[in-house]
Amino acid sequence: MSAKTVLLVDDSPTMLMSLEGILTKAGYAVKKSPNAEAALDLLKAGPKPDLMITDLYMGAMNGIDLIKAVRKLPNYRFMPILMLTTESQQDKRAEAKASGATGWLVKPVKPDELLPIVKQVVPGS
Amino acid sequence: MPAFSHKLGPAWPVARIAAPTILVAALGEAVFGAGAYGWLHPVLLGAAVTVALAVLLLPVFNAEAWVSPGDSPPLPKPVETPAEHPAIAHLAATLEKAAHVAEELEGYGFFTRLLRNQVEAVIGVTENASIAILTRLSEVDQSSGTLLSLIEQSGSNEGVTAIVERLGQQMAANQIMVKQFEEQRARDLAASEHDQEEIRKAVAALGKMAETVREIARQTNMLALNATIEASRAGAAGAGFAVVAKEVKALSLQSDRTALDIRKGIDQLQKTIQTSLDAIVHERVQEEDKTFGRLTTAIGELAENMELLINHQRDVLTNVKDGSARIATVIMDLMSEVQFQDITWQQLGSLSQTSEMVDSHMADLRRVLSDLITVDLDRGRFLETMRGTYDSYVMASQRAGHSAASGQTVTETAGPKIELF
Repeated sequence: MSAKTVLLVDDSPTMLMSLEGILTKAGYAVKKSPNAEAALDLLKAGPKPDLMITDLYMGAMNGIDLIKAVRKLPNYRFMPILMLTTESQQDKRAEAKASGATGWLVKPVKPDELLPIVKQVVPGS
Repeated sequence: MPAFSHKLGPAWPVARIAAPTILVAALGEAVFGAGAYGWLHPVLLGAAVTVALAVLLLPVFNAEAWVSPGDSPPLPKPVETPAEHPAIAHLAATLEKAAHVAEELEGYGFFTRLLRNQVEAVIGVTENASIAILTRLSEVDQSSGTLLSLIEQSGSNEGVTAIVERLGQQMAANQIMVKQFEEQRARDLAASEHDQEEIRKAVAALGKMAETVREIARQTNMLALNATIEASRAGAAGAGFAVVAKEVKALSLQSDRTALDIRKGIDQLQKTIQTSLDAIVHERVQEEDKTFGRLTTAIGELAENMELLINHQRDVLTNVKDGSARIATVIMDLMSEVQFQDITWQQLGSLSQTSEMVDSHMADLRRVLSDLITVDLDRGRFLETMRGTYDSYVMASQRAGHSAASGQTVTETAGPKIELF
C-alpha cells in the first residue's frame, strides 16, 4: 500500500521542515508549499493529497482564504484540511470551520499530538 | 498672525502666560494619560514643554517684524534690547533646548531602526540555526535507519531461525553419519569375528589333517615293523624286503615328525593371527572411541556456542531495535521543539512592526519641533495607534502582554489546543 500524502502549507521554512520530519518518520509522503498560491497550483496540478495542513497567517492569501478556494476546486470538497496556527481565538476557529476546515491545531505541536489527529482524519493511514 | 500682540493690547501679557500654561497642561494630560508609552514619557514630556514654549516665544521674537508699516498705532520701543531682556533670554534658552530635543529624537529614530535591524538579524539567525538543526536531525535519523536496516537484514529473526534450522539439520546429519559409522564398525567387527572363526575352523581342519598324516605315519610305521618281522622270518630271502621295511619305517617317522611340525606351525599361526587380529580390532575400536568422543564433544560445543552466538545476536538485535525506536522518538520530539522558531519569528516580527510605528511617531514629533507653527499633531494619535496593534496579534501570549502593558485586564477564552470540527 502506497504512503498517504500530506500537503504542508506554511511560510515558515522551519515549520515546513519540522512537520515534514515528523510526518515522514511516521510513514507519510510529504509535499510542501511556502504560500497559499503555490499550494493551490499544486492541488490543481494533482495528484490529490490525502490531507492538507495549512498555516493561518501567510503572505497575501491567508489560510482561511486558501481553504475557501480549495473547497471550490473539483474533487476537493471532502479532502481533510487541518489549520495549524499560533492563533487561538475562538472567532478565528469559527471562521475556519465555516470556511471548510476539518480541524484546528495550535502551534507548537508535538508528534504525539499531531500524529493521532492525522491518523484520525486520513482514512487507512 | 501679523500684529497679533498689538491687537491684543493690554491682554498680551496675560496671553503670554496663559498660552504656554494651556499647552503644557493639554500635552501633559495627553502624555501622562498614556500609561502604555513607558520609556517615551520623558521624550513626549520634553516635546510638549518645548512646543508650548516655542509657541510662546516665536511671536515675541518676531513681534516687530509682524508689525507692518501700515499698522497703527506703533508700539513704543522697549527700553531694553530683546537680548538683554531676562524673559527673552530665558525663552531663547528654552528654544535652544527644543532644538536639542529634536536632535535627540533623531537618535531615537536611529535606535528604532537599529532595533528592527537587530530583530531581523535574530530572526535570520534563529531560522538558519533551526534549519541546520532539522537538517542534522534528518541526517542522524537517516543514518540510524540505515544502520537498523543493515542490522535487521544481517540478523533478523528470520535469519537467525534459518541459521538455527540449518544448524539443526547439520547436527542431525552428523548424528546420522556417526550412527552409520558405528553400525558399519559393528558390521566390520562381526565380519572380523566371522573371519577369525573361519580361520579357527581352517586351522582346526589343518590340525585334523596333520593328525591324519601322523596316524598314517603310525600305521605306516606299524606296517614297516610287521614287514621287518616278516622279512626277518623269511631269512636271506627277506633281506631286501627288510631294507624296504626299514626305509618305510624311516619315512613314517619322518612323516610323523613333519606332521607334528605342521601341527605346531598351524597352532603358532593360529595364535599369531588371533593376537594380531585382536590387537588390530582392539586398537581400532579404542582409537575410534576416542575419535568419536572428541567428535561428539566438538559438535556439542559447536552447537552450544552457536546457540549462545545466536541468542547473543538476537539480544543485540532486540536492543538495537529498542534503542533505535527511542532515538526515533527523541528525534521527532526535537523536530517539533524547533517549531519555537516560528513562534519567536512572529513575536519578533510584531515587535519590529511596533518599532516602525514608534519610528514614524518620532518623525512626526521631530517635524512638530522643526515647524512649530504650521505642523500639528493629533492628540493621543500614537496611543490609539498602539492600542490598535492589539488586533494584529496572532497569539494569546501577545494579547496578554499588550493588556498587561496598557494596564488593562483582558481575559481571553482560549479554545482547546487541538479541535476537530
